Amino acid sequence: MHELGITQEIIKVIDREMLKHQGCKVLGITLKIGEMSAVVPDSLRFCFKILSSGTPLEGAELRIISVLLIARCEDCHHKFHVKEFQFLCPLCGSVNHTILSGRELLIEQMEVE
Amino acid sequence: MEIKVLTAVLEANDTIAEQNRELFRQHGNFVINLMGAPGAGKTSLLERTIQALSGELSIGVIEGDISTSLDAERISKKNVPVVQLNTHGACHLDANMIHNAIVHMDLKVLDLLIIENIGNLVCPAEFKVGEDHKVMLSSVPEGDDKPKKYPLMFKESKVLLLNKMDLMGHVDFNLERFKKGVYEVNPHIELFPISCREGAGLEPWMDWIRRRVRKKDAK
Repeated sequence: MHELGITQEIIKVIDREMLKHQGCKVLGITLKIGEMSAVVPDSLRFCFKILSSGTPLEGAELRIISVLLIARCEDCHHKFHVKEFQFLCPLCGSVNHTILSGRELLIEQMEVE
Repeated sequence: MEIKVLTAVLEANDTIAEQNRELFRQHGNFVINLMGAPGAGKTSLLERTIQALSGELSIGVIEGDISTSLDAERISKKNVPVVQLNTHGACHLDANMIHNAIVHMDLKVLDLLIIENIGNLVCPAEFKVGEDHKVMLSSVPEGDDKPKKYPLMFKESKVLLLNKMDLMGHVDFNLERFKKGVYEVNPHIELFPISCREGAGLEPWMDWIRRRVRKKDAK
């Protein structure tokens, strides 16, 4: 639902980066989006298409890398993929954990020519 | 040519949230970001909270709504300072909106600032505004499957209030199933079952606030 605002932020960051690379054209933008971020990739692509239309970013490809939700058990140190948001350690059943990845909403890189 | 950007998309928001947080810290304000679905009873909870605590704490409220000032009007009847924020369509409050709202508040007199977020179970959880804690209000008629369907908000919250307990038995809601779902997502969350309508079960919530305000004052 808030993908429009997120897309505006992405475009702001890219515009700022492009000031350092004037004369280049952006071909693609790579994003890393965690499984536990409240962002829908299809909505993001849709918003990007609309917001970039008629700007220098028009036609740039949005590549989205999904990052697994991984937690580490604080009791037995087992690292596990959290499925369906069940944060119980599958080895020892502990509820104490630290999230290692899966909350990302990151602009990783851009491809320019 | 590939250029590393490595920038968090919400970096701009998080930077302003940190500035807000620092301002609240300087003024000793304990700040709650109250989130929940439309109709869960967020404004009723505010009314009950103000009623119970306004004799001992100085309270301020920021009301977030997509439109109208209906909630702010309700709260202003309780004689506490309230700022209405209208997002004109946006589904959450962000740090910049709060930054602009607190200009209108006398922070140095406040012990407690409660920010009522937009009624929505998804987006508000993603945006920090400078709060000490996120608090979620869920309600019995919403159903016991919500922790599984909207895990992020349950995960991000320090306290979960389950409102409309007076409707238990009138709607299909299994409290054990709800609790199981909640604790699988967030084993450390504090759960308080309440009824704003009847004024029941609210004392643990008021005590939680009192403890936190004292802790913030002590710093």
